[in-house]
Amino acid sequence: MLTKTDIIETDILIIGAGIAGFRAALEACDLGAKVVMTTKGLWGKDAGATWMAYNGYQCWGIHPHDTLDVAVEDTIKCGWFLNNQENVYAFLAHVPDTARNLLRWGGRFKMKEDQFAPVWQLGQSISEGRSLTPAQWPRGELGYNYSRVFPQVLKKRKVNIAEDVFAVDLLMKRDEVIGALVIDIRTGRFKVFKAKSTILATGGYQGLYQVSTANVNLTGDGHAMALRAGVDMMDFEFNQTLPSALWPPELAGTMLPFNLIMEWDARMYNSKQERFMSKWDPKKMERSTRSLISRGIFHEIKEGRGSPHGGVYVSATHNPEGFMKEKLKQWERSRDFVKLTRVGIDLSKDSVETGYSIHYCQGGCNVNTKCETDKPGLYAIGEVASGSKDGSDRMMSNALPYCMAMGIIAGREAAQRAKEMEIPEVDSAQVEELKGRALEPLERGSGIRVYQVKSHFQEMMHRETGYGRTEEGLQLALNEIERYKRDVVPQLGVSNKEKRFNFEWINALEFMNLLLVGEGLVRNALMRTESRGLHDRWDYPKPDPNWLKNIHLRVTSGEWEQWTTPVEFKYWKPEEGSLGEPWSKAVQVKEYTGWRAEPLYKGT
Amino acid sequence: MDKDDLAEVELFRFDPEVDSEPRYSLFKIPYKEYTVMNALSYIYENLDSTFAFRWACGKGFCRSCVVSVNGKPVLACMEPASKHMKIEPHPKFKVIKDLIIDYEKLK
Repeated sequence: MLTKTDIIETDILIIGAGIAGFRAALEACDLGAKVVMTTKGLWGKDAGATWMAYNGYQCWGIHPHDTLDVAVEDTIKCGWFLNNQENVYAFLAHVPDTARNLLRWGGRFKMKEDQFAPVWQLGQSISEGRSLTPAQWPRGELGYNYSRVFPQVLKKRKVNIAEDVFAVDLLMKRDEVIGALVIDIRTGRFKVFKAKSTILATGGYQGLYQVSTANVNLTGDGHAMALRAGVDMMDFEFNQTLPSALWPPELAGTMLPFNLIMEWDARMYNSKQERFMSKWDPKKMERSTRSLISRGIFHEIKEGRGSPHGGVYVSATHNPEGFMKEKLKQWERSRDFVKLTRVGIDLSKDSVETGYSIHYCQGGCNVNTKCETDKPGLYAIGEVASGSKDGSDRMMSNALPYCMAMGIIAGREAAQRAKEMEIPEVDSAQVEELKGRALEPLERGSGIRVYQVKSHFQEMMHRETGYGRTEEGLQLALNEIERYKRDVVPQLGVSNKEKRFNFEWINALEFMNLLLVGEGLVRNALMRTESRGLHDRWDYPKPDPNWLKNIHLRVTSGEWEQWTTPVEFKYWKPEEGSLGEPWSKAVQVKEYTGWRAEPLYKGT
Repeated sequence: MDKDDLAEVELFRFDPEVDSEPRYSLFKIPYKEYTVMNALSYIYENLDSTFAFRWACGKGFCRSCVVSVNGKPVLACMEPASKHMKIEPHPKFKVIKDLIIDYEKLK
């Protein structure tokens, strides 16, 4: 039985403390709600991808001719027309206000003669660019700035921040979500949060793969909790990857090669010294979409034209000497360049061995414009919320503005709901059952340790569910997952008996979450018999006009249910005869008349 | 295994809730071209998972893996492993358990 101290009552429980969770906490707190925000690690330091963001914050309205409509059109084109257009408008409408927030809190963006000096990012149709970049780029990345600014902002407010807390499962009262069961990693004890509104802000499931540009402790915990709670989920077949360094180990997984492409005009070559992007996007070459450059890298490696460590080469050596000197001087103190010097790579002569690694997860809860899921009391924001805001490929620099906008919306909606209801009663039998399930690997003690199986599973996922997916490979992956569920999970044992900071136990629970999310991914990838955006099928290499629809899934008593919904071309549609591939034209169907923030150029 | 391919690690152990003073655990692990964090993960995953160690991004951003190696404070994920390592918590902060420190409290 839980003692009295183990039950905490709150108006709003936010699970996850990245940029989305933070913004929701702030909004709800300012509206007078009692807020608890949990994080799996330390607030403002680890646990999450926010603190690792580089340089882009896409904000429409910096130029008079760059409007919400242009930003939405670009986003939909990058998503190969699969986006939920109502959601894209509703979320992006907030973005100039979110940039005002950042400015008010002390964010400093690059300026030129009293005007913002934005950077151009892939897929932006206006040549001046739309993405705000930090004033000290490349030395002061956005993530670094956030990690200094956000804790200061919350310090002045009464938000209860619970660190080192692992969320086990959502608590339900029939169909309604009424809080969550968590483990306090510092003590090894369970805690129950009773909440009027619960907001999932747990980030992605990058941990499905071995190398990630973000953080490997993103293990789809929110996704798995939502799946177990029977929430309507969608778009699991789309996982964004980026060119990232393969070698040496200190650089592995960093976005350095991608930054070289964007900032140094670097080029990609295979082992035969061919610029292979000419096969994929002869016009834009390396400055194509993220899905096409990752696909290009994959296909070169698969066809045997890779580098010794299994990648391709990214090189900036074609630039004139003066350009290189100036760039090297500008970048010499940046984090990645300190590492380059340490390992003896000289960019004026050498190239960087590059693979691709997981960057962003597009699958998640199907949310509406209010960030509500289909379970009353449960909201989802950021990466754990899909709502098909990204379609089949997320536009560059859209992630953080989406998180801020959804944080504002969910914080407001959750606070409103909390005003209208009482603290719910929790069913103690349910709590005991969930506790029992989480304790199984710990009580089993001996058995299969998570570290004996995790890297095999990740390797398998990388091999079979990355790019060049085939029916055969995906079926193999599904069989493997079934095997893990049948032969491994019932024998998972935690050898560590310590109560405090038992990460072996947490890692075992995370592994079970990853298996569940991985299964959703494979099931969706099997169903989509076309190649679109980040979903690359070797056996169906072209986009199919019949697949302009989203795949949803739901788990009910262990059974998976999948269904599709056609995209509603409410505001924009692909031009006649187009399949929705990138750079095809969008035709406006109807004007969006909803609320939108004041653009930024009128004054900050 | 050839002796040259081994690294010796002395690991600081202290749980202020139980122990009166710190002790050290000794490990011999394969020596490779990897980081201090890789070496700690190797121990955690293969030899002894009872020590407490915090790490996350592995790329020098999050600063949660700060430790002291042979007396020098470093980020474990950015520091190349060497053949003899005495790994201790950052000397300036209060220890919560083993290598985990309380960032809010200076010693």
